[in-house]
Amino acid sequence: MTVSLGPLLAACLLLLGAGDLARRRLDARRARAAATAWTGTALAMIVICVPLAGLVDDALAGVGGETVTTLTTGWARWTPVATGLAGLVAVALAPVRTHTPRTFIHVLVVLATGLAATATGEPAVIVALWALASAAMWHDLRHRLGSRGPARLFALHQAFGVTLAALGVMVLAIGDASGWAGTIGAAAIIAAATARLGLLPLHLWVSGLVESAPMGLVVVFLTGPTAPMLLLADGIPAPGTGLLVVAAVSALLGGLLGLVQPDARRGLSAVTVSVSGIVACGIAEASPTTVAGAILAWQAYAIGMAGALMVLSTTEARRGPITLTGAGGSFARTPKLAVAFLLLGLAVVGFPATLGFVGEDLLIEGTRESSSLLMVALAVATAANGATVVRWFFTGFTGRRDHAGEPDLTTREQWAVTAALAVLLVGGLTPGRLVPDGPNPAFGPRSAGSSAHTDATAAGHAQ
Amino acid sequence: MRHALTTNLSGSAYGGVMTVLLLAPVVLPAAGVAVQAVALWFGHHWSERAAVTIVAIVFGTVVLATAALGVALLVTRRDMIDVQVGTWFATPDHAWRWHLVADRLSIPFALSAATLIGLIGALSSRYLHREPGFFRFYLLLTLFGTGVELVVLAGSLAVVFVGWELVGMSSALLIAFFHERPGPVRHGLRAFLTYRACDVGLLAGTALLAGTAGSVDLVSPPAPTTGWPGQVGWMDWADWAQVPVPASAVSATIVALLLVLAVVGKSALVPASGWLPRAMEGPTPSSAIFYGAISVHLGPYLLLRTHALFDATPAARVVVVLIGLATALHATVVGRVQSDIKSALAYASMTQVGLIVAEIGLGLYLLAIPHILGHAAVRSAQILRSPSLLHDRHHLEQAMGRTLPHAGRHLERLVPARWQPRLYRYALERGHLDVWLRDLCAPIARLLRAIDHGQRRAADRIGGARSGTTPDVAALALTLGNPTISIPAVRRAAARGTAAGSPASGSAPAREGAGRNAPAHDIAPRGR
Repeated sequence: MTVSLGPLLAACLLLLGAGDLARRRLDARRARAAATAWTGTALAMIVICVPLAGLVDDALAGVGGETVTTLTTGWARWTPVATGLAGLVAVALAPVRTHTPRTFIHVLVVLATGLAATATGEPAVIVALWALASAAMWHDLRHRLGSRGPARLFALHQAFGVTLAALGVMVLAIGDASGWAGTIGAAAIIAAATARLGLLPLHLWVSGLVESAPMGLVVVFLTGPTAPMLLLADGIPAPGTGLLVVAAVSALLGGLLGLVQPDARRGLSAVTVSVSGIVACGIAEASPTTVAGAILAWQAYAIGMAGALMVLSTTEARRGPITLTGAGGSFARTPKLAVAFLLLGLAVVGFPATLGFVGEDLLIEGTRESSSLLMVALAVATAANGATVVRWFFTGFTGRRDHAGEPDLTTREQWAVTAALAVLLVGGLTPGRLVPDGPNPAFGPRSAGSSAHTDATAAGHAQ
Repeated sequence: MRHALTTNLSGSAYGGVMTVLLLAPVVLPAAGVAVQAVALWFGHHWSERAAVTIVAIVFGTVVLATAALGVALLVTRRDMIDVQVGTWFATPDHAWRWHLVADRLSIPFALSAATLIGLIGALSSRYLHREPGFFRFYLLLTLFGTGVELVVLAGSLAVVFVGWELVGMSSALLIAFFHERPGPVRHGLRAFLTYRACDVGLLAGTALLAGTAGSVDLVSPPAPTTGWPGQVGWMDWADWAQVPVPASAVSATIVALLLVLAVVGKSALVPASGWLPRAMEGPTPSSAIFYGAISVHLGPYLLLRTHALFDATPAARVVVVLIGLATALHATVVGRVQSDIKSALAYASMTQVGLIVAEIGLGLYLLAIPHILGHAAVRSAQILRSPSLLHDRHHLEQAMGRTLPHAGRHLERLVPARWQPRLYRYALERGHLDVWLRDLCAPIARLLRAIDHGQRRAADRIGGARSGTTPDVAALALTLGNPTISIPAVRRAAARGTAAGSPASGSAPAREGAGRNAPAHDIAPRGR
């Protein structure tokens, strides 16, 4: 098993932070400040690893540490940075009205599992981390909402997913990947990934979670790269047509459903389902272009959706829910909140000059080669998602002159949002090095017994 | 290949100069956007003069650069200057390349667009003086200029798409410029939704073209049979760089129709024309530049740029002609009953754009270009003068010594008397297009809402909630782990014993962060 030190150390740092918060028993404001500091330090550690990766890896190889690298290489190279940045945004913008010190502990734990998942290509470890994150989420939701409703919905879906994923990994480990064991194992993994990504028909937990759970916790769970890492992990066969159909339907239906939602939270949860579907389409297609596009779209989604959801949560905590029947907002009063919501949301849906556009372009270009119908479906989904984002920008942040005295972004919030926007916009303008260039050589090629797509992937990469 | 210069940043000295001149119209406005956006984001307050100066310098330089390119094309007798800027991003089997083209189609458009934007920028410094959104206007105007120059100078449809989207976004945001009123906001959203729906055509068309023709890069037109210029037939002047045409007629027709869909949205052709008169809610200078001069003409520009595709697909040409004529007829009838000058001008603009589209469909490319440029100049001037309409009319009447005669009587006489009431009703209802579109979309929306409702019920059942307990968003419970938080609205609802005040034990999703419901006495007037 190959392990990437940077994300792993960052995850350990976050667990230390969670322990520190549990020990010190701070009030909500101080807990947020401490959590922001821990998350920022973890992100800084990952970022520092980027320029040092080559140097340290050579040194490690010299002392026989071939199974240890500084940063993940290949597809997931920038995923820890995106996950860490999403976590920083989630913590820095978390309103203390809705986030208790206990919530911040859970946020750090869930974020740590997300980062740790990027540190290894071992499916069993990824599934274990998924189970840990789900347990932390369930603990918070149950304490806050009781055992029924969204908490139960969440628990059922995640338990189903984790169980299937564990089953799939076990079957693939003990059976012949090219025989029936491979088929059963792959099917179980695909069903598990469907539940984790929130694809149809296992998507019902997403909107309940976005509506009722503390947004910081929701964000770190939704943007955790568990499902993409699992689908691209060592020994997992290429998903093939089954996931492709489910993902395409999710992308299209999620996008269209976003247009008829009565409030902003449900609108963005529909966008979440749609973008997850788009990303899953890319992974299921399994060509170098689509997988690169899927990973890049996921990274843009992680950062952008984290920002958009947190800005929404922050705004709602200051002046009430954003709904179709609401009075709107005063753009003049909160211009930075409004602009941040718009730009981060547009990055999620692949607007030009953002990082999301690069991912969307690669996905659409890649899917076109296999099916023009699928490409058109993705184009429609992308357009619908963009319409949803802009609709809630206009509905929630403009349209009225008076205001309730709500403040705009605070300094802490502004710096976190600035970091996210800088990555999305500068990364969108110069995406050259950000485009994943192939599977992680350390994790080995995709296993035998996968579909013909795998061969195409290998051939394409060899070129 | 005809007389084309293909160069890049590392080319010869002459090629390098041409590259810089061709990059300037795109890079300078983009840099202007970046400078203004960063300053606004960090709250840097500079003077109005500084914002105007930035726009003036940017578009003044763009005018000079495009003029120099035009002179270079004429002097060197080249058909086009083709700059391969570089690869933006790539995977093993796909590369996205920045590719710009200067030719006899793009240069007049780029030059006139930069000139008009610069003039509008200068005029707006007085018109919007001390307006709260002054800097936002200049930022969006610069963003619009970036998008337009990208569309016009694009060397591939992929680059066109980037500019196309920037134009759409800046257009929607400028329509909603007066964001404190719900009307402009609603109309900005409507424009954006129309753009977004129709832009699927451009995105899908571009991707399909890449698959069927192998590339979306513009290619040099075929060599003429005689020399250039002065010795060629007049139709050879229409041989500007074109998109490659798919070998299959069916593929070519599908791609052409998808591009027509994009044009319908951007240029407000029927049946998607309803957003244009509503778009006049924006500031007058932006209305002039967007809906009188440049934005509405980007559709015809795209048709001109891709006319090789339509030349190969007679069915698509017929569609273009029919849409153009239908738009012209519809707009000229509806425009005659408009009671405000900006709506009347919007329909007048729509009429001309419809005619231009029909001309292009009929293959009259060289007629379409002066028609576009002339219409852009005249219409933007008319819209700019429209706030002074009554003043101008009084001046004119005083000078004439009598009231102005009623114009257009000859057209009214052409219509039989028994048709006139119907036409009048048609015009008052704006051709029933809004109703028709609503009727078209309503079943889809109902179906989606039914699916959404079914999902909620399923979530309630699986989650263990009583059926239908998902709360109305206007009556939300807030159940927080923090016992110190108290929400007055929730407390009141709880005291009344309503569902909204009850805890979420019924498993209905309790709203996180429902926040203050902002009671009326808490609302402070702006600036308090």
